[in-house]
Amino acid sequence: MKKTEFEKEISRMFQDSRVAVDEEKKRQTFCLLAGVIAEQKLVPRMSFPERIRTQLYFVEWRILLAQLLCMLLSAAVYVRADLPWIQAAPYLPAGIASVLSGMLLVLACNREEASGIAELAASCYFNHRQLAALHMVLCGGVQLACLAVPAVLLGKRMQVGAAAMGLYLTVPYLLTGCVEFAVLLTGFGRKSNFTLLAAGCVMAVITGSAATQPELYEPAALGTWIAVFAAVLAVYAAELAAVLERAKFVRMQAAAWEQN
Amino acid sequence: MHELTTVELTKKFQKKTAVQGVSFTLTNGVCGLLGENGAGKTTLMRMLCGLLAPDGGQVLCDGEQIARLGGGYRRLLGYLPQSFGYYPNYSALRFLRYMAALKALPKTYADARIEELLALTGLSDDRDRKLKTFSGGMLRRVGIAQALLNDPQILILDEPTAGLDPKERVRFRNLLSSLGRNRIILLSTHIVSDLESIADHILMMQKGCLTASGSIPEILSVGKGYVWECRVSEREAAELEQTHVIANLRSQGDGVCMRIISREPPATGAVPAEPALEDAWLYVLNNEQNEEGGD
Repeated sequence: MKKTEFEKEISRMFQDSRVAVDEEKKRQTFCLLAGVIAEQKLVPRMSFPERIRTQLYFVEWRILLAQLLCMLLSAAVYVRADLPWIQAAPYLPAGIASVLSGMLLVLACNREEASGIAELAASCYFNHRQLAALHMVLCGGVQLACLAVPAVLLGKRMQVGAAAMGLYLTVPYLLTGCVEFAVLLTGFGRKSNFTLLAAGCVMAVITGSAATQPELYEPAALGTWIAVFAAVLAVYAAELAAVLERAKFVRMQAAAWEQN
Repeated sequence: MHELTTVELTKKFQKKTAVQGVSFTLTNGVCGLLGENGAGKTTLMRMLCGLLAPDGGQVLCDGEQIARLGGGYRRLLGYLPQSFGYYPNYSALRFLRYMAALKALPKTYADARIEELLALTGLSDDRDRKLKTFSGGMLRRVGIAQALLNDPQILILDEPTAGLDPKERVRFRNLLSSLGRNRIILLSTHIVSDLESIADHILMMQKGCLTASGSIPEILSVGKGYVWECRVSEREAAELEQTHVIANLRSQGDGVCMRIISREPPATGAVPAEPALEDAWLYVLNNEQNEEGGD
């Protein structure tokens, strides 16, 4: 930058030693300036798209891989149309896949609690609830895409409309989520994932049994499916809100109480 | 410069009061929080970090309630909890990147800062190793590194030197001392010697209450005249142990050298000694217990 005439004059004055510089005052001024600069030092902020992109990088990829595997296996089963047990219980593979998806979502969101990192995470800029919600949205989006594959294949095979197929897969998904959240809320599942896995297996057995009852998938039963869907959705939303609210304070209180 | 203030802070769990009416103000410098197990230190620190809502009183940062400041306050904050959780299969580098993401630090800034902190904590050579292979001391250093990622103006460390060997503790003390010049640092510890050389201010807690507060010279003056050194026989030493607070005890030849906290000379030939921070702490502790016993 070009110096102004004024600045050049100042420089000449100091070079000519016409202005005596008190070394002690120079040192004090420097310390003061350093302090002011340190106070005003700004740590750069992350833009919103960058926040989402960064969190995507840290989504639990093992869980998403498990999800993909579920989808591939169920799709592979439907491609082999001649298997006798598929003909007897066509909704079984898709039902199991949706149950496992529901379980995997809750596992993905509980990882901070299970690994003991929740307290540390809660003190950061993004609070625990925001992270849990973001991970649910990211994982849920992937799961919807994964479940669509067996849903389409099964729908074509059974000549069932998209809305009905959506119900047949979403209800077990949400029901499993309700059971898993209930486990989290009682405290058993928070510290260890094994309880959540066990609950998922129980739901898979129940869903598997239901999937072998063809009368449940008759058009006449659609009204029941819609009512169950509405009820389960309401419970899911309430439990999710309770889990996220509990993550905020109560868990910390309980942990602090145990410690003291 | 920031100011962190608590006003009559109280926290209760069911029937127990973990923190009762604690009030203090912290400014730049290192403040040590001393207290026995169960004194309420961790609960207090969690309230200062906004992790627990107080049942009474408030926590203010520059005059504003931290609950109202929300993310703005957490941007200023660096926290190392006593139980430091981590993802065992993450490497140190990946874990610090994850924490940087939680603290909303842009990638380029975070990468540069992580390099700096790995060097500062002596973990540069172990950056790609999984955390599950780390020793306790190394994990603690990772914890310290993550607490410093966002260059916090308020650093709260709960038992940060737990698991560190003497060399690492010295390194950590020197680091804190240099950092404390232009930020608020609050650290809790059982190791009194960790505070003696670096703390500008001491807070002592017992049963949820603040029992003493002040600079180290002020705290030491509390114990002045109550610290005695004497050399006694083993039989006398056993008797003194039953009736007095013993700060130190060392067998020497056919006698025992003792450092005792007492209002009067505890034994014949006892000479007054200059109090250390640990002596003052024991004196305050014993004083509180005697007052409760008197009630």
